[in-house]
Amino acid sequence: MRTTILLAALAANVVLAQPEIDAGSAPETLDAKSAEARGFEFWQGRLATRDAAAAARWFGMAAADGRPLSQYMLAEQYRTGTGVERDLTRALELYREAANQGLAAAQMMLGQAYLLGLGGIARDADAAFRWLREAARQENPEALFMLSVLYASGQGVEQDRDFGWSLAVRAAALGQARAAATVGPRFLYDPSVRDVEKGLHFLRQSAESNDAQGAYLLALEYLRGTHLPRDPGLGAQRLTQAAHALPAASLLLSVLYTKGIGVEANAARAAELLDAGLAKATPSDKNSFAWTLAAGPDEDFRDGALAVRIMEQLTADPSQRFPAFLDTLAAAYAEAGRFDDAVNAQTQAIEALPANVTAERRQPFERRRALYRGGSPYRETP
Amino acid sequence: MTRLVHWRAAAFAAVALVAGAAAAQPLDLHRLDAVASSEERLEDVSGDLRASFERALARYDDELAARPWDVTGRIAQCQFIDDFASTYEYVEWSDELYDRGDQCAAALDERFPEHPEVVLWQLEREYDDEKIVAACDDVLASSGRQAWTAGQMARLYTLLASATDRLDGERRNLPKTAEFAREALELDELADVRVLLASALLEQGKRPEALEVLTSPFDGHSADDNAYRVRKMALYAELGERDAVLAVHAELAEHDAYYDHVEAAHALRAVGANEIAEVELDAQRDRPYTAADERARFLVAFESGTKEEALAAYNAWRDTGFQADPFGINRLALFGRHPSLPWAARDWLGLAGVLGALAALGLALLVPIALVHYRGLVVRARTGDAYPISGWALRHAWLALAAIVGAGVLSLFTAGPMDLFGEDGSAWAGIEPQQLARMLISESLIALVLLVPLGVAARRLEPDWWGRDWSLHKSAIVGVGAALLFRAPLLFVLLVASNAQHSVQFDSDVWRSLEAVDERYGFAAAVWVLAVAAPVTEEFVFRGVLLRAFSGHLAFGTANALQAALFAGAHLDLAAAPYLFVLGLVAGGLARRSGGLVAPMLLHGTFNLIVALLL
Repeated sequence: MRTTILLAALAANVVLAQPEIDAGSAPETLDAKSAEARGFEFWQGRLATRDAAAAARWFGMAAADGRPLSQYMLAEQYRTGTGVERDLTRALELYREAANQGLAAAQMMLGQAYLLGLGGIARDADAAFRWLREAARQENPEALFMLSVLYASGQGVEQDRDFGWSLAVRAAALGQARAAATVGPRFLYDPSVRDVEKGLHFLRQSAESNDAQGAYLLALEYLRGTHLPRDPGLGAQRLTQAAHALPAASLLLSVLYTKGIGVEANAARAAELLDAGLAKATPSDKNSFAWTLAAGPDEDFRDGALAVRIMEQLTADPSQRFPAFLDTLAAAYAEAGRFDDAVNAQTQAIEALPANVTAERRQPFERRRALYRGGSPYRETP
Repeated sequence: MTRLVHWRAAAFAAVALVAGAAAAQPLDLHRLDAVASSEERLEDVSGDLRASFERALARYDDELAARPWDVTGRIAQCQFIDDFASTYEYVEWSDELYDRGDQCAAALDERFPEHPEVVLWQLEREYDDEKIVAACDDVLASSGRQAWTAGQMARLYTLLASATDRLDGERRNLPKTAEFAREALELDELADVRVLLASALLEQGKRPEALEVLTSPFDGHSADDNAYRVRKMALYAELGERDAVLAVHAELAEHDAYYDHVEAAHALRAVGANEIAEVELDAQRDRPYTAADERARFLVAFESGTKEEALAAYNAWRDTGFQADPFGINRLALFGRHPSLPWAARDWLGLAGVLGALAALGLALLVPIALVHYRGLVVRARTGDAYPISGWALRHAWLALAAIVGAGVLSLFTAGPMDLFGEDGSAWAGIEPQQLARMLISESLIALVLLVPLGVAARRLEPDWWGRDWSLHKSAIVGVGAALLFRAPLLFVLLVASNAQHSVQFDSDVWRSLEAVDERYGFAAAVWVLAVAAPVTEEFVFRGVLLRAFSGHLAFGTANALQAALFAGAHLDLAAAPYLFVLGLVAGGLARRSGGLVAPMLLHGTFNLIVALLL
């Protein structure tokens, strides 16, 4: 018994006497690769609790020795202010060093900085294209997606929509959520590339990656019932997921709560969502929402009075009296049964059209005015 | 006078010397050519080639000088040297090319140490699968993997899955292959591992998952590869997805790329699309028809053709050589399907071959019997003991062995059409599960029938041979207990492992046959074969007849070892032989101690029943 206690005490002593790991010291003999590994141990909390400051010290040592991954990690810390004081300039310097050594993630960040003018550097589409191309060549999904945007818009490179599309699809296949949300709808609705399975797959993938746009678009599919069995409940879930980031989702969700579609009717919640959505929505978002309320094919989502309220508020500002917005206002009046007002608003919309507008573009406006004169509201075809 | 002679002689010698020297040089008529010789032109071309190569390299250098970060560009440069070396491998300076390739790769490694693209490029050129796996494991274990993009990591997992699959000859590592392939697909929907993953899942019996993988709208493989499409057809056929097989088959015509029409025909036939299979076989006519092609055609005609077509196809196959159907198994299958078809002389010859094979087997089985007989004589010569004339005799032992082995041979004739000596020795692997199931059931029934005479003899020779010294109760406890002890490791795995059925795998024809019986006739049939019919017949033969017959001529230990060795050998499974040998020894010991066969039968039956739980 005494022996056992003695041995236990000895063992406890051995265990407790272990020295604490000194995160601050960096032995001179540690090579750069080991220093980088040590940095990751602190960064990922494998050694003890996560210690970003210690990680930065170790990454700094390895970065000074030219290790590109450490340069990138340290840059990330400077960019986000994790474990070190935020310093975008220093971050960019480190990204550049790592990018010059071929590290794709750093090349992507540098390209993004040039594209968006981050960290005090001037926007430069050409430089953005060059760096994003390097990262995309190494199949960095974010770089692929950003590059697809450049090709589609012709920024920094000669416009090539088809190649931009294929880059976006590649990014989506590699799990880039925003790319998936972008290509998904086109696979569903563009006859030239139609592939319903792929479209739905990408929308689901995007939504499950918590991309608000993806969740919103998936919600629309559940609500429309075009490519998926109609399920307002699942639609409401996805709208809830997207509502915090997308005003359009918040606005549409408010309609569901007003009418009890897919959720239990809750006027207070509906009002809350409507206010929140309208507060953040752009004029274009408001116009799209009001159009759905006024002229959408699904009766469940129509609300002429609300559409009128939104569009009257929007077009009260003279700078917002665009033909499309006035057109929506007219449709809202028609849905609300105010056909005289609808005709007036539609007339104003036609008059607001540019003088050189083509007949093809003018015709829909004229047709809708004729409808309102006849006492019928306008309905979009599904 | 003399001076003149000397001068003449000197002049003559000088002329002779010059003429001789001239005569030693062969005449080169090419000197008269107005254009350059072939060799000269080849030298010119070689020189031009070299200059072109150097110019191309210089272009790379110039382009990359402005792009020091361009790792993929540098890889392209090194790849160019490699590709040039393999395209122009007969140039005089090919050794220098390989050296320069090595230098480029070394410079690449130095400039971009541990860069993912460099690592992947090196792995993609590596032939040693073990090195590939080790290198991939190193990457995954290091913190450097944070530098890898999703696409690069997907390529790494693709390499790892493919290498693991190639190393897995015994198919024991399928879960790992599947895991790596899944990781690749998680990262990249277009990772080229779908067929590999589906195949691994199918081998593990995970059919719904395999189908889900195959039917994904994404496939990263080249659209021009028709051979790949045919592989997909084969997998779909194995899954029984007729529509999918036909849909993929329709894609073949859209791409002008080579594929094996016979392989496509097999897949089509497997889902019953025999008319289209026939079309595929016809398409194979553009190359010399092999025996395998004729066999494929016969199988199609057998399944869906008229009896005349089936006979014509059979004869066309037999025309390729005797090995096509040496024992008439397929002719008998044809007879079973179309009894009215006439038999040719060579068809009877095939069946006669069976008798010859059986006779040869019988003679072979005499060897151990003869050894026992002569060993017994030697011992008796020393001891003076009398020759045993009562009880089980060596002739009974020979008959028992012949019955067991003969049952196996005769069961082949119940399998249906099969290719006994297929190309690449793959005949056995090509037999379908329902054929294996039929064979195993037939074998157990034929063995029982053939052993009836010996069973009758047993009643006369050993009336109480079931159990003389032990009670039934004691035999049951000892027999079952010994089996549980034997199978303790397997029982532990079954109880502990969540996916026990796939963590334990047997790689033998017997196991495949049992799986086939389970699939075709149900679990009860598999249990009957494994835990009842086989133990009863095998214990009767080996511990009942052979052990007792041998014991009359040899010491018990030697007799027991010999019967156990024959028992292990009769299963034709080298990996399981040691295990079966020990089982045979223990069963023999039990037979002696208990004075009967109940205890060894229960030992053997329980032993096999535990294995049946894996089905």
